[in-house]
Amino acid sequence: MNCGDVDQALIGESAIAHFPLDVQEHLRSCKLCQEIVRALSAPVPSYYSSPATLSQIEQKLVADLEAVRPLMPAGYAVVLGAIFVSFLALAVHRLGAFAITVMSPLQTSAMLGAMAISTGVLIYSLVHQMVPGSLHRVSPRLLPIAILSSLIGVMTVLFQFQHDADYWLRALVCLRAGTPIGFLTAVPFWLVLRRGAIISPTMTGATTGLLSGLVGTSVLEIHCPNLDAWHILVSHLGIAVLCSMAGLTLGRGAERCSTDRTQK
Amino acid sequence: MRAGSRIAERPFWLRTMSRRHSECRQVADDALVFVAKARKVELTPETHAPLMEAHKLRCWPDVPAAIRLFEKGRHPYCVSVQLDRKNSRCRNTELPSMACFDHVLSTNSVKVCKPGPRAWRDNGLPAWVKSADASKYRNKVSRFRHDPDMGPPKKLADTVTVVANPLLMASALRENAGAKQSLIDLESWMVSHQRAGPEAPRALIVALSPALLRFFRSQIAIREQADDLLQETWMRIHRVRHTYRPGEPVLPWVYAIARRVGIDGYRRTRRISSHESAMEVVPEKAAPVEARNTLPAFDTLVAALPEAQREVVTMMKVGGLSLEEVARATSCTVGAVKQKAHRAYERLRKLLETQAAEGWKGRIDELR
Repeated sequence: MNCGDVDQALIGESAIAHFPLDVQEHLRSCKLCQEIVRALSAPVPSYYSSPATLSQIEQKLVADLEAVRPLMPAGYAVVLGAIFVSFLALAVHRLGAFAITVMSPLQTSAMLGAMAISTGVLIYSLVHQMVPGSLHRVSPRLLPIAILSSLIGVMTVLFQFQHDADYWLRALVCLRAGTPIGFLTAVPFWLVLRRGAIISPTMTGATTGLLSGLVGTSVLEIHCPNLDAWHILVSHLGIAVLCSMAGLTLGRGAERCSTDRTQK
Repeated sequence: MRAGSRIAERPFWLRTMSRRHSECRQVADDALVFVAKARKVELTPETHAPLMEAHKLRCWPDVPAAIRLFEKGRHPYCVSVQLDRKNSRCRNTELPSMACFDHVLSTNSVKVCKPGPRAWRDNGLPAWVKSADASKYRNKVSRFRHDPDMGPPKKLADTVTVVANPLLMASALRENAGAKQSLIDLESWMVSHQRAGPEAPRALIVALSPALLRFFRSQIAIREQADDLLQETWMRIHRVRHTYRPGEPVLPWVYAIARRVGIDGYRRTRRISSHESAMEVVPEKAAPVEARNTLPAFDTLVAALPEAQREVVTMMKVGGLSLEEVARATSCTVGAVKQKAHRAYERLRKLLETQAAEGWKGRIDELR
């Protein structure tokens, strides 16, 4: 039993009486732990707003009181998924699925599987970001980075790095085809998400950007028959990175606007 | 007044026996007139009203026990037996606390005072509660025991408690913020607010404002604007009330919004201060230096922590939020919150260790 165990007990329980017996035993002998426990369990002063202030707030709230329908996250998840699939299907129908015929079954299933999992996780996170006070299993701040890293890993393992003389030309073609798809998909995503997602517009912007960018990446993964790993990483996954950065910037702008609006 | 209180108890017995029911306040009023007459004290309208106001009953013995149970996270069975459900004062001013009662017995509706068995029997008290005390009609507060044959309800803790006076319960709760939060049924008020219940805004504001104000006051950068931020938080809560999901805990939802408002407030202050040019340096009032070897106040203690750690410790220790609730409020994982709390305690331990050597103020400034 050491001081670290007391910290653990402090994190878990607020009252000393509920501490495990061995922790209580340690508390009796350790002066420093006694002090920290005493300091943290000391009563904190209460602050009260004046009744006039509270009444003013109440009046403002009552003046604009009308029934609202609670947000249904499951429904929003379905809508976001539907938007993703419909834009993907539409773009693939228009551009053609040439890569499927070139890729091996393992490459196809692994690549599309990784895309599907990433999309599912992003939609799950976005739906939770829409509702303040949601419990996040994966940190929404780290999620875009984690997803991009895992996709880089999958692409690096599945495809070979080759030397291509027309590398930049081909890359530009793919970027020009995929980026508008990503940006276009972001519009319906934003229309859905604007009902919630008030806690961190920057974070939500980055996640939404990545999700819409993944539409572009997925379209190119199905369409582009170029299997060079450099090409896939830069011009396919690059769209997701680009859209994510754009979402982050727009989110930050929205956050700034919200702060300014509050000021007025 | 003490004599009046003692005598005031008797008419309840007499009225119950003679089946002449009167409201509690009327009985107390009659008792006051009787005492004044017996003691030959002149009772003018000027003295009558203040005396009636001063006639307040002490907290029933079961109230502290009930609060202790709530503090432990248990839910004792609470019954209000004195105040009528229709009592306007109760409805208007103490609604949040009324939500903590599982059962409200109205003595006025059955026209029998509390000592009468009908006050309990005809009020629809659940069958699984039965009086175990033979002297139940001699006590103001009757303690009931759970009948194991009937099967306990899920929220029943190890004690079944009867709380006789919701107004006193409410005042006791006001002194105990932690218990208050557990007692008030915030979720049902939030749902009511979503359905445009006219009483919900007041109930929520009264219940949550002190905790929110305390949260803002604990943030050094924005403590001066705590009142403004409180107002802004309520406006935002109202605007995004549709994002609250019924059945989910209210506190993390509210704290998440308050946290956002706090961040906006901080950025606003920073932006304004960066545009302002200092006209003159105002000498800062010297902060009172705390005596050595005495424990610092909570605010002083957590002031030394980085923003994220301070936020976690404040929410846990002042707001009474659990690890999971803090994680929800801060959009973090439970593991991340645990780590922040652990680091905060480690840092505080180091601070306390060096406190004697350097004194609090200097050390905090240095660590910042």
